[in-house]
Amino acid sequence: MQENNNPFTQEYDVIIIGGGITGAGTARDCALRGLKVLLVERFDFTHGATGRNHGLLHSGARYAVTDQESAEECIGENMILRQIARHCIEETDGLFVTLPDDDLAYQATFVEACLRAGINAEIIDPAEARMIEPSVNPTIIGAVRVPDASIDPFTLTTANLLDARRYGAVALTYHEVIEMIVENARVIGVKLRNNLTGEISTAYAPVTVNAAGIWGTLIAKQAGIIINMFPAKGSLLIFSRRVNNMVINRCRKPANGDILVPDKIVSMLGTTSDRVPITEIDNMRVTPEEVEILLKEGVKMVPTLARTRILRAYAGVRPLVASDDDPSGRSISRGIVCLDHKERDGMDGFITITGGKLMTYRLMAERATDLVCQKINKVGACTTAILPLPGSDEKAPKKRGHQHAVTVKAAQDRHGSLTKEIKEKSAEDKAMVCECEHASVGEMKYAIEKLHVSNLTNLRRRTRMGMGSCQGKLCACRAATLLCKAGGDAEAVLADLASFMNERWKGMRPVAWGSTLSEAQLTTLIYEGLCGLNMNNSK
Amino acid sequence: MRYDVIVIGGGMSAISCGIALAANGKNVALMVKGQSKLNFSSGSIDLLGFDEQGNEVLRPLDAIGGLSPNHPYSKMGVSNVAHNSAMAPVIFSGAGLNFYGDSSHNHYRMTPMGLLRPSWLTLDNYVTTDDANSLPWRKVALVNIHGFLDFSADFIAAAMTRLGCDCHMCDIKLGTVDKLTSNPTVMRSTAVAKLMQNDGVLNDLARKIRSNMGDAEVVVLPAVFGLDGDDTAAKIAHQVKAPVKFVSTLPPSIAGSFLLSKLRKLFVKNGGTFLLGSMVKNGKIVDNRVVSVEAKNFPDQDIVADNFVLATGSFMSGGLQSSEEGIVEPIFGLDVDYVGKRGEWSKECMFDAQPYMEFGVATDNEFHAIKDGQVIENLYAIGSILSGHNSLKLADDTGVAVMTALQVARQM
Repeated sequence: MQENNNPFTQEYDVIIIGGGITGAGTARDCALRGLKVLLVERFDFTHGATGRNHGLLHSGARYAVTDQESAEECIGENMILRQIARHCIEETDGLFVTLPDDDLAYQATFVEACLRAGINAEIIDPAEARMIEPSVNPTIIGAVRVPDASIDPFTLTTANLLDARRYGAVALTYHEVIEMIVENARVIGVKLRNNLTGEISTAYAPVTVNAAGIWGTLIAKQAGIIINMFPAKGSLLIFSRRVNNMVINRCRKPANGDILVPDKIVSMLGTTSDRVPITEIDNMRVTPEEVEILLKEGVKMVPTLARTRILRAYAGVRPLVASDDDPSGRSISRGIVCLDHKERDGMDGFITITGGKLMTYRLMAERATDLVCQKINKVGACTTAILPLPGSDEKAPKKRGHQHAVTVKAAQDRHGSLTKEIKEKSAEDKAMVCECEHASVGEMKYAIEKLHVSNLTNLRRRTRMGMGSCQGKLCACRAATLLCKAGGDAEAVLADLASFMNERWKGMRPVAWGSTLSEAQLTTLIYEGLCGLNMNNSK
Repeated sequence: MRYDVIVIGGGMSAISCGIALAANGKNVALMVKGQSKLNFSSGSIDLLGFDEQGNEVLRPLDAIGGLSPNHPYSKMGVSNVAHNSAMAPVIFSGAGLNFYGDSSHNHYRMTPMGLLRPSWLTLDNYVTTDDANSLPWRKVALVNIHGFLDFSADFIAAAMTRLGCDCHMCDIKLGTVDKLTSNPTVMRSTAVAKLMQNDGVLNDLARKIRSNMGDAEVVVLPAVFGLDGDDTAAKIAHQVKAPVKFVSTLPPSIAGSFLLSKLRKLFVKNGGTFLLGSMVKNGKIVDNRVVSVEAKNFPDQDIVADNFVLATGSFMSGGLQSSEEGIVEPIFGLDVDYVGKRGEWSKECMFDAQPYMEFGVATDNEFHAIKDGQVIENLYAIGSILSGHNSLKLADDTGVAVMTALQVARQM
């Protein structure tokens, strides 16, 4: 949606840097407490770690043994998100399984730690586990049931942004902070570059919140502040079908390739963890070794993965922060880090919110907003733990007679009660664009109009178009046509289509053998051979 | 079962080879697994669109001499390519397929995205041009059927305008198509093409085109005419009472269906046999000769022939299979040309020349397949399964299919 007024001449109480879940959540909380909010994101919402994780709604069990505090935060937020973000969550429950190679004694330690953290962990008979989750390795010797679930980070972020906007927040994508404006040891605003047009602008507010994830270290640097971050790359594999219905974890200390999360029509296997240099964070590629490790471990938990096509591999970077008194980085926290740079560095008007996890974004937002309010002497209680997000705030509408059950169902999974915004007036609106994810023309039009969409990647993140087993083979062309119809310049849309397909290929390449290679060859044949598209079409 | 020749495959190379063999009086059977790459056909046959340096080729026969020695054209030699490329249009016309173009110079076809790609032969009612900077018309009426998403009229209109045409877009609503979209998955080219087989719908479309086309010199339509070889293309042209040209849609390709249907008819007319639904599992090789093959749908039967032709295609068709360990030809276990390490099979950019595109079975210069370094005397490999060229970068995929098919047929 176009903002009515020039966003750069308005006055704001707070500028939030970063369009991931933390920034979106903070924007919502601030807006709900009556603050005038500007959120700026240098690319697209969910471009960073928010769009590159396994979408697991942790019960906290994974951290129970090693990090009790994180575990408690997780289960607390887990229960809250089930209430306020119902439409983003699939209540799958999870299993922690013990394989013959694992130490069954760990199970008792694990369950005890879970219960201490308030996580309802229940030991069940391996036979029962095999029955409720048939994909699990039949040789398991132990199983614990926990309240894990699957969460869609894309719709979660969109819902937070929609609500922030409903309460007056302005959100700008493709606006990168190129300078922190500092006056008398105080951040008073930011200088921005529009990454689509190159235009430079400024915005001012008494407080600026750095919610840029791992990139936050670079933002802080612009204000002359050092935050000791440790970029930890996590690689994941997406499988072409939904292999499991429950989240499956390995009952041992967290390690590589020990979580398999069902996500709508696919399953995601995660993760690895490796330190990477900060200079590499914009260029994450999954290596063949990482693929090998993930597969090797994943197949032990769920043998059928060995025979399932891998759709793609991708990697995100966790924003881990070293505590200030430990420059060596040995005591890296996975907990929430909220820095008041006035106290820490003598720089007023500047807050960094980082660390944490997707799971705890709301709590992170609450802490950051508390601090913002304190700085501008605003009194207001946090309501995000009780106010449902748009999409979860009403009952999902009943299917209307003229709509198709399958696209409506899929749209409801993505947009919850906001599905009512999707107009399927004509026959054309009802036609399906993406046959893997069941996204209709109407849904695309809604996203283009209302959800900050200017290219195919934006559209993919809002509707899951091109995320399914065909990886955009046909739907990307169709969606490109719709962008064109919505006023996009044909040549620019073709350029976008070429780079969109190239991005899809980059994720397939690390796993390009077997049917994945065959599919890639077919896709190239369609786009380059039949359609004549090439990188000359792209910039 | 016993034949003179067994051809394994059902795509462009297999059927071309079958037609030529049957015309020579051979008792030939095509063992067809299922669908082929013709589903993704553009309606054109490309001999050689680009040279190995990426330069566009104007005169394909002149450029063939410059190809690397592993290229199938180099293996058969320029004079054979010239001979076969003269023969092919004659064979096709016997099938009722009329093409624009000849091997002395390339023309351009218009792609579903409105881009131009060099071509050798294009179905003569499809949009082509000899000049990369213009089309043969000034005023064009570009028609789409409302709700049909697999025809990107907006891209094509933009391209036509860029090429100097006055392009008038007509989005035509057909009542029946609305009904069709009541199931959202079926608005595909094949479903629309099927609708066109209904005279009432076709007449309705023609009438609406006539009242919308203004003073256009030509009416351009999505290529949804000619499913299973039907005559709806001629019908619509007749009814519109103006020149009608087609641009391919996204897959499935109706042009491919048209080509395949016509070629199949000719093959049968020439006396060939189809063994449809044939999943060939393996072949028995004794003393460097294939004795027989075994297929899933013919349990406990040896299918025997004097000669065998392998036309099973590349990875996407199942002719080649890759795994983490390597690449194999699954039926006979033939020698495959490829680079060892998986990391080297592909390049980071999708539109770079991908090394895997050049992988394929090794052959001698007569396209005899090779197993464990030994030439198999009565087994030939043709079409996309061959190594030694990147069919996307050279735009020679269907050309190699037809040229090697005819070459092998002549050798037998």
